[in-house]
Amino acid sequence: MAVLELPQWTALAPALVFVATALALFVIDSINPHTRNRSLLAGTTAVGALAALGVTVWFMLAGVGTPTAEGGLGVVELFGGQFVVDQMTLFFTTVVSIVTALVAVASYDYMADHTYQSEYYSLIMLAATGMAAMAAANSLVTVFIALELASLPSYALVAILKDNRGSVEAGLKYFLIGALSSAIFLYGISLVYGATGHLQLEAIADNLDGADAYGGLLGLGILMLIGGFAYKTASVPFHFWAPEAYEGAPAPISAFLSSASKAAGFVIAFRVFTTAFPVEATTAVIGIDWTTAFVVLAIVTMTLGNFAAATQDNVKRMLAYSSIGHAGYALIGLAGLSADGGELVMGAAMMHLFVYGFMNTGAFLFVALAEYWGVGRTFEDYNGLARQAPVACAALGIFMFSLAGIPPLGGFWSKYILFTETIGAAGTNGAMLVVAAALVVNSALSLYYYSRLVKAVWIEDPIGERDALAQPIGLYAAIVVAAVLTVVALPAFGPIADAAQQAAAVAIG
Amino acid sequence: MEGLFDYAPAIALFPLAAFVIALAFGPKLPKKGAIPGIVATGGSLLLSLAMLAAVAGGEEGYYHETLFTWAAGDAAGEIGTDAIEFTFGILIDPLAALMLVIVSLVAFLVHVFSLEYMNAEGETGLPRYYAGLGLFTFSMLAFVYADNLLMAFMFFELVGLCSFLLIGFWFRTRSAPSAAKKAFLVTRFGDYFFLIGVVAIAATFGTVQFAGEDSFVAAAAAAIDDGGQLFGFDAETWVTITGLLVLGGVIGKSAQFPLHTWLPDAMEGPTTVSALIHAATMVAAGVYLVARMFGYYALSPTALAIIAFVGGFTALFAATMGVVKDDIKQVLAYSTISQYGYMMLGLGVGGYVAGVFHLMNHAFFKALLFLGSGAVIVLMHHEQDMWKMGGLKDKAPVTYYTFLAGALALAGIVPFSGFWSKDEILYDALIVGLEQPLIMAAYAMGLIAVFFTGFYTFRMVFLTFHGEPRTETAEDPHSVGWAIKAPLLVLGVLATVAGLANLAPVAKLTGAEISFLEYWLDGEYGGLEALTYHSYHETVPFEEGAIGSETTTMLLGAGLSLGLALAGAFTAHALYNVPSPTRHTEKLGGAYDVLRSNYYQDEYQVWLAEGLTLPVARAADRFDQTVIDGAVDGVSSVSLFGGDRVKRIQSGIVTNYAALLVAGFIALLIVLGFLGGWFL
Amino acid sequence: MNDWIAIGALALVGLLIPLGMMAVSFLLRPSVPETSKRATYESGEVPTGGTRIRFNIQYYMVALLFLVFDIETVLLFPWAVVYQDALAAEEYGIVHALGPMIAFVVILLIGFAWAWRTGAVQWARTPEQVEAGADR
Repeated sequence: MAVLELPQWTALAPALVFVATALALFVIDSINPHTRNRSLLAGTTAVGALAALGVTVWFMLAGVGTPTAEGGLGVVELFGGQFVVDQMTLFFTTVVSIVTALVAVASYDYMADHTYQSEYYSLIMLAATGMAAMAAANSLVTVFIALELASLPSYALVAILKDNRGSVEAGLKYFLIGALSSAIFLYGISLVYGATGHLQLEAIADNLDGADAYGGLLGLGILMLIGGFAYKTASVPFHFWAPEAYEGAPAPISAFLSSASKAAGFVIAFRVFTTAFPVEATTAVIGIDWTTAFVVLAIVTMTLGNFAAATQDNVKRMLAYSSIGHAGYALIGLAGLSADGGELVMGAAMMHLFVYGFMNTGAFLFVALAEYWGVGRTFEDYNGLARQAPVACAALGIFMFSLAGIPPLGGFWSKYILFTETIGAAGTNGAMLVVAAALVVNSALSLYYYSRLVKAVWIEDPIGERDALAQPIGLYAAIVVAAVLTVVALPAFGPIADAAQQAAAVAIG
Repeated sequence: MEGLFDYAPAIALFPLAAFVIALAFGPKLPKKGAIPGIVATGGSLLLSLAMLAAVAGGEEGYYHETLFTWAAGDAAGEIGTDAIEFTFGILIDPLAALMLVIVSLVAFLVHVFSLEYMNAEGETGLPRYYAGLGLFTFSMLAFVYADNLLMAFMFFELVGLCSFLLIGFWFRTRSAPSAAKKAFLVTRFGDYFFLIGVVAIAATFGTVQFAGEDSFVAAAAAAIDDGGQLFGFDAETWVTITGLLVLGGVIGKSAQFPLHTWLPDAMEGPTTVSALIHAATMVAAGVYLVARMFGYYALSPTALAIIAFVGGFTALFAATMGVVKDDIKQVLAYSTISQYGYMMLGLGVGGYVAGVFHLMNHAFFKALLFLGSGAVIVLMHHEQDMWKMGGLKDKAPVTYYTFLAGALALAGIVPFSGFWSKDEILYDALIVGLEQPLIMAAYAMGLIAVFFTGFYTFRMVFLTFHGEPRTETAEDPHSVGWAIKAPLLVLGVLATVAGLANLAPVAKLTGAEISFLEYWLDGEYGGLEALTYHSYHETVPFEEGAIGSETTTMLLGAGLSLGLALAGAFTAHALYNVPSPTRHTEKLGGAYDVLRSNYYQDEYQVWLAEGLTLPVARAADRFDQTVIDGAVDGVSSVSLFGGDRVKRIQSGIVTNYAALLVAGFIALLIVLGFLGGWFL
Repeated sequence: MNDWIAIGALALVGLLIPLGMMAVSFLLRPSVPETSKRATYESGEVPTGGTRIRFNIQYYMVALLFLVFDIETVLLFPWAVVYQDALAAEEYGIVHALGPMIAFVVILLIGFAWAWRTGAVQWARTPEQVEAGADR
């Protein structure tokens, strides 16, 4: 295929497209400073994201990352293994670029009155670049740089509503917690380097034997790496920024952070732990199976997220906690790894992140729509919206029931597969039974607060009179597309599941 | 002729179409749905007759076709099968063909009769009525030619539902809905066991087919021959258990003791519905099911003996209650219970032909009697109390003579049809009873019941038609039209001559080959080898005895039963065929109260429901409300409370977050470090 | 004995040294209390106002821009040193040697141009400019 004839570095094309779009936005703003031409800016962003999506899908179809034995083009390694482009890279890049495109389209209306238009879109693009780079990073250095590249624009994006105290406060908190977590992460990297003498992931795995004398040191380093990932994925105990940041940030940014950023956080966690720290070899050195940490984190995270979400009055905050809960579900993918496999569980977690990317983005975009209308923030304020905006509220119903895991929506299947694979993994790790039980209990609890929102929107009577609601075309389009994707994920689930399983198998194998 | 079988599904689908039409367009149709019903049942009748001819004249002589497989799986059966299929299929053999004709004929006549009984009387809700009749007929016909037990069960249930709808037709009265509910619940109680039986049979043999190589009957016979264990029982014991479970449904539907209590109450429905229920559909379904899977029961002497004994007991038990009833329909209701008791007795002693013969004759004369009583009710302006009638003989001759024919058949007076079939049942019971004491007891009860049958039948006839008119309406009755008379005449003729189908005693005496029904059911004219009378007869494990020679026994039995029937009739004649009859209840003394109260059957069943079931249900409800709901509510309260607490961790102060974050990290470090031995 | 005891000892010593020095100076020093000794040290000047004053944002802007170009220099310097050798080497052409650095500089230039155009280095504003971008 044509891909092979291209230079190797073009394998990073999705990330490069993001960078190019960001630079294009800077150029546009330089030519006409402080431009408020929303169509041009949002359009460029969306086109850039879709171009990245197109390239990614093309790579996938062309067989990049598919093992050569199966007729693919093989995994592409770049810069001496600092970056790697395999199926997992492409899978998560797809998630990131779709979410980015949706957020860009939705922001067209949401940020209509905002002063810093070009800054906003270029920051989104830079963050997306970071996330795409995270998906490809294959060395602790590139992992860290990519992670910071994704994080720093995010801080600014959360705080971009300069006149809104909540937004600014959220941005500061996000930044402070992020700085602390980055410090811990960086410390962890240094400890791992100290123990093994390498930063490149395969090289770390090859040199684990040499770290025998520094078992505790390596263990501490790994634990600190887990802390860094937990921060990026909003997992306990590094989750404290999430509710505040999601609530204070502009709603499209909340969608962006809770879907794309979280997915990117998981992809580096998946890659680092499958490539650099094979379970068996690592256990021999550090004396404990690191999946134990993920078992604990998964249970605590999903429980805390769901329990806290259950009693929220504020819709956005409820979604923030539900996002923490879903991080707990996805952590099962790491908790289920074992010496003789676990790719099924990890594949299931990847599937869940994929479907989650649509439904969660859609849910936050509905909040964006509600904020655009100015109806208020609590459940009561949403009462009876369906009478005035049935289409958007039907989409909301799809998102909520999919998040809760009601058949036949996509969220049900991904959660169902995750559950069965968790049970399957219990054969090698008995603790997975507890995880599976926690998954079921938490899913049941989550139905309570998700259906509460649907009930408010569809069944309850409005508290007071409301003016007619506008139908902003960008927001509506993004919500409807997200809803369609959530529904279409169902018939398309076979290919998605195959892609995820194959990607997981390649990553682990 | 064979090609005709392809149209078999239409037999049941015609009434279904009528049901749909009556439901959808009934209010706009001229006769509110009667015409489609008549056309449809007429069509079914013609097709059924064609089936009869096809069975008789065809090469194979039966039709067995699976139409639709709606579930198939690889569940393992107890006897080693590894797959099971649930299908809809049609089995038309001599038995089914005969029953199809009976059912569609009675349904057709009932539809015609309804033209006058319902339409002319200005009833409202007629579309609902005709829709119900259509669905009822459809369900019964489909049940009759079902080729497997599960399909039979489904339509058995549908029959029950239809009876519920039709008995409760006058739902604005207090009694009709209650009677409908009672019929539904009591038969449901029996069907519960039926369902368990179906599941047990399916789980044991991996098939629910009635006929063919892979039928559960053949599988059961093979299992008994193997002498293995099924679910920890002997094969034969297990067959008995499952057979008795299925019999639960039969006892409920065919109103056998102790589940007969719904049937008298079911008289709350329109009389035409009663005719349909008693003669051809609901009640007949139970006995037909026993006949349908007779090969299965034949494998188990215990099950057969229980069937026979329950039948004999019910025959006597119901007959005694019929003696003291005042309502003409009530008398007929108890006679139905009693007559179905005879059929069960006949089948129970292995008299397959006798049982089916009586089923057929009973269908004719009971339909006749009910329609006749319907005519009387029309005559009497909807008065049902016999003590308010009298002297109708001269004013309504057609009704009188046809009713009399039915009454003679019911009482079992030679040469009317009822005599021949009842006599054959009693003869079969007698020859088996000579070797089996239990069967002898059943026979004795059946024999005594003959006397009561003769008595209450003619008490009814005399009180209704003879003597002086006792009320003004009886002096000046309403007139009846052709739509009432024609069905009565058809049925009257059939009730009189249907006995010709199987003159077994005459055949034995003269040696003439005129027991046609026996040949028919024996596959002489076509049929499946395994489903024939002689095949059953070989399987039935009963010895047969005789008093002197076979002929002596037969004549003795026939004479005894005829004598008793006549004795009953003459007693009634002496007591009630007077110008002004009195009740003569004081002669019964204390027994009168017991009989009037139906042996307190309702009372104890109500006590079972209210005194036993209700407290248990209440206790279960309380358990559900407190323990289960409490646990559920508790979980949610704890969750919400926990959620509230968890929420408070998020204090909003970023230094707290940093502290908690580091604390959480250190906690994890300590646990993992301790487990991993990092600190040593 | 394991390493952690050594680390603990080191931490203990690290804590003891400053405490010890403070203790020694507390014991040795003469005690002459005076108010000006407690005043904030401002290079000998008399302190005015509180410490919590707002600095002009432009200081940070310049610092940031300086950082960027500082790093650019750090990267350019070693590149310039090996540039001739890379050109001479067989396996690298001029594209490989020059291309990445040009891309790097172009990215920086775009950023710089953007910063300039959006007023990052604009120290003073005319009344018209203030009028136009009142909230910036």
